[in-house]
Amino acid sequence: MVVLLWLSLYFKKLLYNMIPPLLGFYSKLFVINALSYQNIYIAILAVIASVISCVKYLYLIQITSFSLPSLYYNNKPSSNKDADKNINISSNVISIITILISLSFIKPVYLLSNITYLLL
Amino acid sequence: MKILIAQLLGLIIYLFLKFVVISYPTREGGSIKNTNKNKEDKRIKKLELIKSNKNFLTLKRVSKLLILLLIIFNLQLISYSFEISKKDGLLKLTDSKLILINKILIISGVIINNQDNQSKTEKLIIIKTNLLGITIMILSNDWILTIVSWELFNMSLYLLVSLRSESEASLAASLKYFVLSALSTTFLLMGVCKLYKLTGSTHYEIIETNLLHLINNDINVFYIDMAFILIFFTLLFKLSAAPLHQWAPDLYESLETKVTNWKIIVPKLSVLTFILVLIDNFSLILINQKLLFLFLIFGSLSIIIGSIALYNQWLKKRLLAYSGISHIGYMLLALYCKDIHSFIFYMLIYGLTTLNIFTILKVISEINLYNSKLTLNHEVSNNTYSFHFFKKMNEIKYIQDIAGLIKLNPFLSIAFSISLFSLAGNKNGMSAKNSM
Repeated sequence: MVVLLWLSLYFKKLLYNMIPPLLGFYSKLFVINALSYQNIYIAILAVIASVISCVKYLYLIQITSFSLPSLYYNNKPSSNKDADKNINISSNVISIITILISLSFIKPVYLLSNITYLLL
Repeated sequence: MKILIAQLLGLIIYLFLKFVVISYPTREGGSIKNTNKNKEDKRIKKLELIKSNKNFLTLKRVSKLLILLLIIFNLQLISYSFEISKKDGLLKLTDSKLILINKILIISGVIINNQDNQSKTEKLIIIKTNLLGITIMILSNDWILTIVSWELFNMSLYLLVSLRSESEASLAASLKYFVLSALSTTFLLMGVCKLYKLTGSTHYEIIETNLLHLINNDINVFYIDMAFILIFFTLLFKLSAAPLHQWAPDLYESLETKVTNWKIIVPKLSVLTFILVLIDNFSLILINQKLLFLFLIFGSLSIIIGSIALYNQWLKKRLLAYSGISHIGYMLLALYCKDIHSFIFYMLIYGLTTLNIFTILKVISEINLYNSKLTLNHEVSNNTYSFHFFKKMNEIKYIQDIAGLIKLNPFLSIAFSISLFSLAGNKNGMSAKNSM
């Protein structure tokens, strides 16, 4: 029962947030925050520009997630072992970086307080 | 003495790994054009031996990682041995420089590891030369060494860019890059000459003290400003900050994905680190003369042009190039605010996210390539030229090529979406308010 309650609260938070705050958001937030003390007009300009560029990124996410597969893909199953050898290393890189980026969504305070230690 | 022994040991292990393990033949496909039949037989026997040894590829990967660790270890050893030359040496190593170089080396190591087994050795040599140039450029404490390392860094990039220029467009783009980059380097030389004329030295610390003396007495202040503007002009050109960005989208579009991956991340991070080093060395002069205002102009222009031009892009590499231009703008604005922490944070997050996107795109095209290779006839897949042509045809060119990725591989699609969300750096107003 407690677990269900926790899950419902968690998903409510997810829906409420819509787009989760990832590492890229915090990096932009720091820059815009610093800029707001120096030149508020440029800070506003940076926010507007980030919204404009966001449209294209969202379009990319939309076509990868909700469109029909393109003709580019060759859907025949691979039996070539060479492909797996090369892709194994790349998949490790992808999973590590993706986990690092999405860690900020799970526990942002912990990550941001230790970010200097993690990255430097 | 201990340091010397450790470095010698490191060198011996490096040479052993280089010549015994890595130079061992690994190419499994490709054409063998040797007319001598004995040589062919020997080669086939060797290949069979390698195929039978399942641990060979793992060993090769571990050896590459070991080399990277050795470079980092050696750099950390050097930091102790450079205490003598800290006063007026050609090189100066501080903790922050060491940390940044380590990060660049790790990211570049990952990119090198992402290269497939069939990548040519000359490309790896050029990449390593580029890394050497970057390392010396960041460590240097004298303008002569800086210019020499800058040229080494640039020359290796010209070679890398024009290595496999097959089409007319790619040749034109690489030539354009070479000419414009060489032209911009002359501005750097002009700036350094001006500084030498004003101070009589090429050493960073002596230049700073002499320039401060000149500024306090109000002598030649205009020429000091001009010298620094010329130097930063070259560096901003290399970063492809707007309005000096025209070469970047054309060049990235014409290059191979692996080379673009290198070109879009490592040189940019290294030039940004070099700018940070210059700001650290000449901070008093730059703040006194309000020269950081240059970053405000270039930064805001990059943000506007990058974001607006991004909207109209339908080619994958052009889109990433314009995305890079807008992100460079944010980093320049962080420099203008003198907020070094957020600058380094932004730089590393941008590097990691772009690396992730490129790796995902590479994996998609590789899966597709190997699936398609099965349908090719034997003659085409065994001919190197035809196979290379086929490989290039199989690269993702348009954004629409990755439509419906979630049906091909859900994991890749989710990772791609997370990277893009991170690159966009936006979220809805309510959650932003909460996190603030």
